[in-house]
Amino acid sequence: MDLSEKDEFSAEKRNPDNYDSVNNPSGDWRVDSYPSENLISAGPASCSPSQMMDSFGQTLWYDPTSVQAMGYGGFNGGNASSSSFRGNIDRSLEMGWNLPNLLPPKGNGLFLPNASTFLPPSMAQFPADSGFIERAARFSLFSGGNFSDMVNQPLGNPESIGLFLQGGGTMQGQCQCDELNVGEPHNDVSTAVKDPTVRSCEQAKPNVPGSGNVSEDTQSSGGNGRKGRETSSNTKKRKRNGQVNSEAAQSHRSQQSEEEPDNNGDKKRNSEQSPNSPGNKTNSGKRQGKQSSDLPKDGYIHVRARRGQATNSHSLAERVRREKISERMKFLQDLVPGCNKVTGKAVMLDEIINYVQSLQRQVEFLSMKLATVNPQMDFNLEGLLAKDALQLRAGSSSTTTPFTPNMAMAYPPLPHGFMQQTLSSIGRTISSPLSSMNGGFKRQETNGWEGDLQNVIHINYGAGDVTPDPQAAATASLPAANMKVEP
Amino acid sequence: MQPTSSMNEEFLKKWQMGLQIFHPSIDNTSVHERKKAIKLSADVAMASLRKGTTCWSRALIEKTATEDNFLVRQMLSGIKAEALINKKLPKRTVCHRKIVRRSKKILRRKSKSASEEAAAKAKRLVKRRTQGLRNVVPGGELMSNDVLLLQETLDYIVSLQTQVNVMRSIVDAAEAEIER
Repeated sequence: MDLSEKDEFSAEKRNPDNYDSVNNPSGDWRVDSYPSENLISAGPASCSPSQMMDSFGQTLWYDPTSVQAMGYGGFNGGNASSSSFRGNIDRSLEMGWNLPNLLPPKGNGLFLPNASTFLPPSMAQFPADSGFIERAARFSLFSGGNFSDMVNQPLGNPESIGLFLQGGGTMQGQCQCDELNVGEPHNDVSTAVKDPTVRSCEQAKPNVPGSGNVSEDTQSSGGNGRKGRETSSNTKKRKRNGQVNSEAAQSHRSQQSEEEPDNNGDKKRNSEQSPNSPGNKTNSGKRQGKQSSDLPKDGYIHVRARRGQATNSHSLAERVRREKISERMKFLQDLVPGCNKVTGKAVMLDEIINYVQSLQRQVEFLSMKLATVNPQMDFNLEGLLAKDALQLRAGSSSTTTPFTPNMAMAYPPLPHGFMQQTLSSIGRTISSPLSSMNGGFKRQETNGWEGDLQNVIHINYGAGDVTPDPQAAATASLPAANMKVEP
Repeated sequence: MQPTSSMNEEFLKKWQMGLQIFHPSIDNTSVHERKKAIKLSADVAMASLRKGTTCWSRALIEKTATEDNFLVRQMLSGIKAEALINKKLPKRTVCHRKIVRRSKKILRRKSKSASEEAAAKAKRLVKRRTQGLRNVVPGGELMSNDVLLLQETLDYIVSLQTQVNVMRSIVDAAEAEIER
């Protein structure tokens, strides 16, 4: 992994041609500056709840689908990468094992915590650079592959990206950093944040032009570089009080909150407000923590004590952990149907368990059904592959009448190829101008109805997609389809 | 987050690749054999969607491999994800029940007030449910902390939904075909 990190880093360095002259020296700086900085050693050993990057529960939830959809091809406007990185940070931290993949700079970089140790050498020696490098590193470090489907909402991204860019710019020695609240980076210097700032810098590059605006925003934000995020999220505002730790933590949070909006629309932006357990926070708005957190866990996530809260390291760690858990629970609430009214961890967990068990039972049932339905097990699904026929909603399947003689001729019935025919029919349906396959699916089709848009059934994905009663759903869908198909 | 069409397609692709392995040996006349084969290939496909980045996917592959190592290997090679079978899992956390029980008794002796007891009871409930969740999610016992467990659960649920959607659509298509 170190090698891969190095590759990425070097790749990043190579990228900006303009900054060649600057890069080289900066590279040197990085190498030299490592020992002098209190870099957070993000080794696997550091993975502990208290050291989670996402100190304030603003975990960026991963969106696997989005990642795949985006192909995660590197820098989607910078948002994706930053969000993905951010979201993956705590994931990678939490995972006790080393993530073996270090994706190429473009891909979902799954940066091992070890990468951070590698990265420190790359950190800019200069405070202005290092601050951003750290932030960038934080972002990019945890672009875990698994959940790295962050969909960055456009909301806070441009600004955050811009900040990144600025950070990247500083890393590159650009003067863009001047626009930034240089004070912030300086303060951040000491807070070593692990991470491949390189990557974030790289990502920042494309958005460099936009950094100017962002920098202004940051400056006006009064201490928090990521102003946009602050408005949208509950980042704790830090005073520029030279508290390095607070800076780092804040940037962490801001990064995280930044990425959070990037999640799917389904995901609520719980951010920091959600974890407000009763009596815990005095005021989510008042994040100006006057108290600085202790740093017993040196070099890890820096958490700032909220106003009026105890500053005991244990309680802080507890609070971070609680926030994370509550955030996850919120996501789960969105996912599991019928959990909106449920409150409380125990009941929610119960629902989740039941849901998972029901899903597993459904899989068993469906596989049994498939086995009986198709003795030859000849699933010729090629037809389906090319089509969006897979965007099916189970309950809405309706393929009763579609196969007319036309189709029969086109696809001579094979003893084992019934699936193929089915799929072909579906494929034909799809190939018709009904191209709204993204959001819906069209299962039923008849030759006579080809091109008849009205016959397309658009199914939207919904939370309640999987019904708890597979048998009922399966049997009910067919009669319903029958009714629909026959005019 | 809901399963996307791209996920569905990927799953279907991989599932089909896995099923291809069974075509030559279609003397699986028993329904149960076929069902097992179908489910196995579906599970492998679902787990390989994550490419070994999640704990549950690795645990699931390991579980299926113990049932039928050869087939699983074949499938994975078909999907070109052979590396998955070798991924290491974190160590299982061994829990000495006697010690835990004794320590819990000692702890319980301390808090006698009503509110504390209520809180303690709630905590116990949550812990029990968490343990139940660990049993359900593959690889749950390997996850050291709750945050990770919840994350994995989220991902697992989405993958399961994908799997169920695709399988159901195939079943419906097959049934429709038969009806005609």
